[in-house]
Amino acid sequence: MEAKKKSTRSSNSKRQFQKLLANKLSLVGFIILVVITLMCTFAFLLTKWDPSFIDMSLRYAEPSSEHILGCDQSGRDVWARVLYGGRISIAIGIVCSVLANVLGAAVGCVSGYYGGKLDQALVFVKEIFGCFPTTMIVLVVMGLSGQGVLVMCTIFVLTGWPSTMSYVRSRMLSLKTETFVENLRSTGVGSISIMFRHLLPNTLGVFIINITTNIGGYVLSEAGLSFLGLGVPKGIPTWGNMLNAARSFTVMSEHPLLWIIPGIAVSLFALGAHFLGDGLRDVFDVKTED
Amino acid sequence: MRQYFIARFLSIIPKLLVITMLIFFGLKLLPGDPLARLVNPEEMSGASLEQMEAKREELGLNDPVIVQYVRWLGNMLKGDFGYSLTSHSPVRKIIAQRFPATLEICGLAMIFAAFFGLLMGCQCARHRNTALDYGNTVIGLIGSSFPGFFVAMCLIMLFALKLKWLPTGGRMTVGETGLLARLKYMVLPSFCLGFSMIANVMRMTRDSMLDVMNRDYITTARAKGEKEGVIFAKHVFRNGCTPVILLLIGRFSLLVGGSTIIETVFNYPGMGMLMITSISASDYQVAMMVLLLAAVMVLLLSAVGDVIIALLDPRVRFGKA
Repeated sequence: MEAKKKSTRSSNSKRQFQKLLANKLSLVGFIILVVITLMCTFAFLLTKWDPSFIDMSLRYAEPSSEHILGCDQSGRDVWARVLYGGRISIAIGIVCSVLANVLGAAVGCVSGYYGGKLDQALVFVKEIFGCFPTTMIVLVVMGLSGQGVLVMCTIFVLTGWPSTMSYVRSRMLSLKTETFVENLRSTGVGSISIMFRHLLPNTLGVFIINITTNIGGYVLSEAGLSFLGLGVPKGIPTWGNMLNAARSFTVMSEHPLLWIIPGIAVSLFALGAHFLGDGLRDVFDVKTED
Repeated sequence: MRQYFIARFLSIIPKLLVITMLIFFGLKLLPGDPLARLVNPEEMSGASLEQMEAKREELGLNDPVIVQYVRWLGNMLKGDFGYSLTSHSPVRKIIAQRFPATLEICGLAMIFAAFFGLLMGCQCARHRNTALDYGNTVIGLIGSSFPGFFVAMCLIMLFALKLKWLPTGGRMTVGETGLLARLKYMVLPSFCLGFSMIANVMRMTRDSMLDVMNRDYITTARAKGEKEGVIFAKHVFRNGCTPVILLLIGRFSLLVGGSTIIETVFNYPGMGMLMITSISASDYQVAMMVLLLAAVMVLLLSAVGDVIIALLDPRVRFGKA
């Protein structure tokens, strides 16, 4: 019995994987994501420069064989900064996305399964969270508490869970009326186990899609906030902080490499995430939710 | 019908209360003397400690928190939003200046996104799984992946610095305040704001239209010998529009909230810029009021969206609701 169940499941996931490979757009997205992530992770193999090494004699240096993309306003190697900066941007994206979706799924699961007053209360909380525009909340809180990666990520997670929560909740509401739930209950399986082991896996598709697209979304948010100078503290190289350096018109028109390179990195990464998310949507056959 | 409207608008009251409460306690927790934010600073500039204490008593700053909250809420309803710490003018005045500017670019962005989103979405639905469908999808995804401010920088570089067709930023030239004169300042910011929305609108349109196209009544229309174009315009488009309208309404408030970064890039004096400048200057009375306004707008628009849907779709009015 167990073996049979396993084999159908594995053939199912195999089929889904093949469907994913057949979708060219998602394949391209997947490759973009993997390549950029690998390049950033193994940055030390691709450049010999330290991203924070300042050499004032190389201020705004043109690209050369030593510094292939030139240097920035403090004479730091741009190529090295893009690679090492990507590490932090991507890490923020992945961590926030996973945490926000786990939180959303957990709350949605409990809310939909138990229903009643608890459900009403949780939905109310969700709607309150949904009312505040993320960028503005981050700005206010960062202004009050001081800039920090941790503060930023916390707010990203706290404002990011509602959409996953509503989806999981509505799935739970319909799933819990199915006969197999009654079967489980009659055989003495506990509520927690029913919720998280038997019902929650049914929402896996949307969960994975949301994680993928949110990774792109959070990388974009980080870039936007750091670009304003109100995201990740200035000393840490991230894609957003590199773009921030180019806010003056002189840098913008005279040293375009300084901002175009990190800009392209952010855009490509987000594009990869959106392509993959879009392909996954077809694979799991989910209708657009908003 | 009227009952539904009343019920829908009453349902936002508890949320409004919670949101205002959050903002109120946020303001309470702020460092600094609350007196400075509540009274016209010119009035208080020469006041002695006793006078300040008297004023504090008069304003009820020593009362229990709940009493203070209720009074504060009353003041808000009367339009008294306190005073800005930096410019010393009433917050209401500042917001009244900035809000129309943001509404203008967001409105234009909305029109832009709705037009292209609907057009491309319908194309995708009518020519499903063709090169046109995929092409539009890719364009839309590019729009939602490229950060708005990066697109903005590229456009400034091209149209403002290189070609010099459009201004790099700002809202108007001194002396020319007409809408047409302002339009050239609005084009780039609105495009950047709207571009990121096209993908969403397009996808929603495509899915919704396809959903309608698979309905039985479309088959019936076809069986009656109606032309494809007429079927699409008369039956599919009208029925498929509903979710798209809802999406657009929902997105409008997000646009206003999300215009922060774009406004900064273009140095456009709207609500977003106001938010950034007041936070950089630790002027939280202004920042909190902007946040409150944004949140209230989200709430109101979601109610308006539901009402519009009810008007369009009788099933919502009488059935499930």
